[in-house]
Amino acid sequence: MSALVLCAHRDPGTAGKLRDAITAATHGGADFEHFTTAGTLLARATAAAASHHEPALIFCGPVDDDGGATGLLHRLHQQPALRASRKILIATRQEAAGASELLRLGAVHGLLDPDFSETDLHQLLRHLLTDFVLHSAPHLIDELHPILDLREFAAAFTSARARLTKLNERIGQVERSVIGADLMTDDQVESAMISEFDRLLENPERSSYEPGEILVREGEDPGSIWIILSGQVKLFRSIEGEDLTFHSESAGRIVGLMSLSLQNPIFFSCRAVNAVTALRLSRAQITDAIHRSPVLSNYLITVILRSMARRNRRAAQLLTQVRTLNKRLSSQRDELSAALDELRETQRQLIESAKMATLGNLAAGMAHELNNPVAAILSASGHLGEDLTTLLATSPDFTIAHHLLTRPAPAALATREERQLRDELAATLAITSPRAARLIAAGIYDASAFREISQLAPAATRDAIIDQIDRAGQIAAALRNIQNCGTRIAALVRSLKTHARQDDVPRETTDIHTTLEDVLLILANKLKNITVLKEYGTLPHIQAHPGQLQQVWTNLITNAIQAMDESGTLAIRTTMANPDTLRVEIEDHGKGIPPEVAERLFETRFTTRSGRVEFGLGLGLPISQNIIHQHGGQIRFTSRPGLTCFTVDLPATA
Amino acid sequence: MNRIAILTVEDESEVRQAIERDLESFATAFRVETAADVADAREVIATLAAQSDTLGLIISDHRLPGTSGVDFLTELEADPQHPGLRKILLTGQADQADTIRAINSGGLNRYIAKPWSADELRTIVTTQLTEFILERDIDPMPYLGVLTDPRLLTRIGRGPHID
Repeated sequence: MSALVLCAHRDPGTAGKLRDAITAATHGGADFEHFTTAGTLLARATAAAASHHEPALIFCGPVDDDGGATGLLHRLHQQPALRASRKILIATRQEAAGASELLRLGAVHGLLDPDFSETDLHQLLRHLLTDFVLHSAPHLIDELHPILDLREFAAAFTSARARLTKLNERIGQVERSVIGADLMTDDQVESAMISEFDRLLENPERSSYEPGEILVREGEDPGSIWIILSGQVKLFRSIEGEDLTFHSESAGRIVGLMSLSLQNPIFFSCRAVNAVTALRLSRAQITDAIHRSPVLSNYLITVILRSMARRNRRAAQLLTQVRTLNKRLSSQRDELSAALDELRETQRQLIESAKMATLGNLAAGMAHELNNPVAAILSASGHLGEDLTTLLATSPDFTIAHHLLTRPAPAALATREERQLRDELAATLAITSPRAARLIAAGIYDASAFREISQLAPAATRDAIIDQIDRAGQIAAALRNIQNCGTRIAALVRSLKTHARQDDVPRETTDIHTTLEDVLLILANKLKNITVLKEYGTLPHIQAHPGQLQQVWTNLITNAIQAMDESGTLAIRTTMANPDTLRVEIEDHGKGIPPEVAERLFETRFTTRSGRVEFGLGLGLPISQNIIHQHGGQIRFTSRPGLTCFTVDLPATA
Repeated sequence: MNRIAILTVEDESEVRQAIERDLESFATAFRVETAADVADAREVIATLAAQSDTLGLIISDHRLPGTSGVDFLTELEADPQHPGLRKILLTGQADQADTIRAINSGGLNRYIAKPWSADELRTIVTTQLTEFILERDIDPMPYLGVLTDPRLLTRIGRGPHID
């Protein structure tokens, strides 16, 4: 296809000259059409443009129509379809001066003098066709290339290639920001984002914050974000009047972005830890920048995602920490509670042992206090008996009484026997039962004994004899009872004194059997319904604390009595386990020790009794074990229902 | 024989003799018996019944070999053979639980702690025997030498003679 060249000119001569010159210059690459009126040219031009063959050049010379050439050019300029066509005014320089308005409008692209030289036309054609082909009709390049200025093409090509390269770079950048941001470090993404903001917003102003200064407070409206350029911030919330830091390392370099993107009030307050430089960006600035740069929006998304991930990790860490702390707290609470229980138990036992110590001191004190009066009673009753005997000897009226007081005590009778003898004697002597009872009490068991003693006072009446036997018998019995009971008290006092003796006394030569007997004496009252089987072997005396050993026996025997509900058989055996070891076994036939109790029997804080204070109890077994260990011995036990045996081994050389 | 008997149950002979001596003055009007333990006491009670004597007062220790004093008093309280029987616990070793049981189940009339005084014991025994006689509506005549409560005088000749 050839380039279309239209020409309006009233003079066919000029038009012919132009046709020839153009055909020559373009080597036939242009179709030249001549019109003598503006109207016909205009019709042809618009029709060509409508069929996508817009004219390359339109020459406008003098025509007869109203307005002439300039009017035609004005009308052509108003046709958008003909905008690419290059329009040339054929006029002299003087005529062209009146067309300055057209030039200003850009409605004329070239000026041709009617007396044009071939060179002038050639230059004009080269310039205008090059321009037309380059910008609007590249397909005509083959037809027109002899006239075209190829340097223009080369320049245009170079510029286009440069633009393409730049465009490709931009595309690559966008692609990298989408796909490649994952491969960039946080700093790289953040730096890229910051420089993108800088580029788009033309280096917005930096804000500086002093250490401790607040950048934003929780609850404020989210109007902007802060990009921390240097320094460190921490994020915190005020909880019950206390600032609780949530993110310090995990704060990241973007503050306020979450709240801004969610349009929620600021969630975390932000405080500068040290001197901080930040880029503060308003929502409008961010929106503007994002609209202008897809790269930036990718960076922002990446930064938000990473920041969220970081804070999520931190939140998970915090949750784990809270769990760990809770666990630790809970176990500490359990430990504390157990410790408190132990303390309470220890306190209870301390109180108990303090009571025991008090009781022990009291017993020791009482033993000392009782010692003197009981000694006095024993001595006084002895003297009383002697003096009375001496006094009675001075009068013949009291021979019977004297006899009864000086003779050995009658053998003790069972109450049953007493009653029997009384009734028999009452019948034989024909006396009342109470009178007969007196005779029996005085040791006069039958009629012959009565007759025998009556001979000591042959002058007395039978009633007087009975009276004297009665009174003297009562006196003798009373004196004997005083002696017996006093002796018992003295023995008890001695046992108690040993029992309550302080620990700091040195060891002394000790007979194990004596310590056992002393304890049996003290516990006699509890042993009323217990049959005590004693199997004592021959034991050497050892160096020991008898009081402490008594404490052990008291404890073991008391436990045995309780296990048997205070009635049954208690066996106490002593043997030589081997030539170097004394063995004491205390065995009961009680209910036995339950296995779960047995395991902890010697533990300090264990007692199966509910805090009852009884002599020798409380911390009994652990203390007993301690005492035996201090004596270099061992204590152990075997137990099943019906047979429990505690075995204490003591070294003979202890 | 139809006498009112006082029975003392005490396992220690010295203590038993001391009580017996303290109650000596009652022996002119009452039958006074002693027992060393509960089995012995049951034997005495059987003998009393066989000889038509009436047990009016029992004085018992608590800690006895075999059956305890409180258990024995409870047993007697439940026994219909001894209506109005007066019961005294004379002991140094009964704890609070034992004592409560003695009062609630043993129909205990008096508790005397060891060591006791002879006068106190005699006063209590006098009162208890008077109450027994009044309650059983027994003719008080034979006992007026020992018991002095004026209420007894109004009952003379009214009740059945036991002597």
